[in-house]
Amino acid sequence: MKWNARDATVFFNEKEYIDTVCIPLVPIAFEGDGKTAANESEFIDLVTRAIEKQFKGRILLLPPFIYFRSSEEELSRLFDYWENYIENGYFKHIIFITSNPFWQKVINGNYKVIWLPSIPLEHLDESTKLRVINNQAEQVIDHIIHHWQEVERRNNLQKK
Amino acid sequence: MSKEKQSGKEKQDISRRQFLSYSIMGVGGFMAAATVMPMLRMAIDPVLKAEASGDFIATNVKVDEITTEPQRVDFNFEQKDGWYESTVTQTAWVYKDENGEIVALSPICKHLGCTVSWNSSDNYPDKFYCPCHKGVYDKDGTNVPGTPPRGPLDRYQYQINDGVLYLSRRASEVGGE
Ligand code: FES
Repeated sequence: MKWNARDATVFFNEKEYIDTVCIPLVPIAFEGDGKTAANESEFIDLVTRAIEKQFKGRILLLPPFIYFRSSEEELSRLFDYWENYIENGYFKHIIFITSNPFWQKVINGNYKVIWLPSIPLEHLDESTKLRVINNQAEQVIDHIIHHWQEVERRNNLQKK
Repeated sequence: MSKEKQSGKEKQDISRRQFLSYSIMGVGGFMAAATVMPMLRMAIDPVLKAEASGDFIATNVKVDEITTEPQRVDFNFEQKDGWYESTVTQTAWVYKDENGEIVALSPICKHLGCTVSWNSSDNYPDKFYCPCHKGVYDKDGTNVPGTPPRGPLDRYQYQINDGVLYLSRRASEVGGE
């Protein structure tokens, strides 16, 4: 599901089924490695779309969270906000998707950070691009299914 | 001094009135949108329909390669979506049923729209399985009662040209038109 007018109706009607929120973390930089940042941004955008297509009924894909390369450190606070939503039972799973290994270090809570090194897309033709992206998405999809199962198993154990 | 105060008040009044009229205009704008929107939709719908039931898209599957085991078939076409053109990739699960008839099922789960796949869960062999809320479908697309899906999987229409499988752009509901 996407964060748009049409999907929002389904989202608020079927809340109990949409237990996962996915936030793409997308860098911008206007000097230095700006080109890499732009590539990362496209890459993450395409991969998360493919994931949304696969898990439309369970994942809410938010618009990307845009951050300046230079301000990463300050942004770790972002995770605290999201932690509240888990604690209040709003979502069971919060997944960040990023190409930047930095974010993995920051995480120490209930959320999951999936780190995917980005692939240079500039010179790929459309069909190769599609194949590459689907390939990457496939891996993330397995990862997410695994994560769901893992959390479910843990919760069941706790209940017993 | 009191005069000055008055004129100050007057100024305020005017701006308040102005504000009010602006906001009314705003509401008027919304109302106009509300009346125009359904008309727009009526204007667009037949076009969409024509495209949906219109031409068939060639897949890369030859008809004599199709077995009784569902296989995943992806096919692409260009679509004009509002103001930008995009390549749409559709997926179908294709097999021949016991009468040799081709069946092409949509992978979109009839619960909330995740993508189902054939034989993907150890717990449900030879079924279509949805990993989102454990929806299960039989081989012919019928939803297994007691699982979340609310109906059978949609089906694509097909055509055969020169031994190649062509599929409709959109799948349609079973039992629907
Ligand atoms: S979307 Fe398939 S079971 Fe809910």
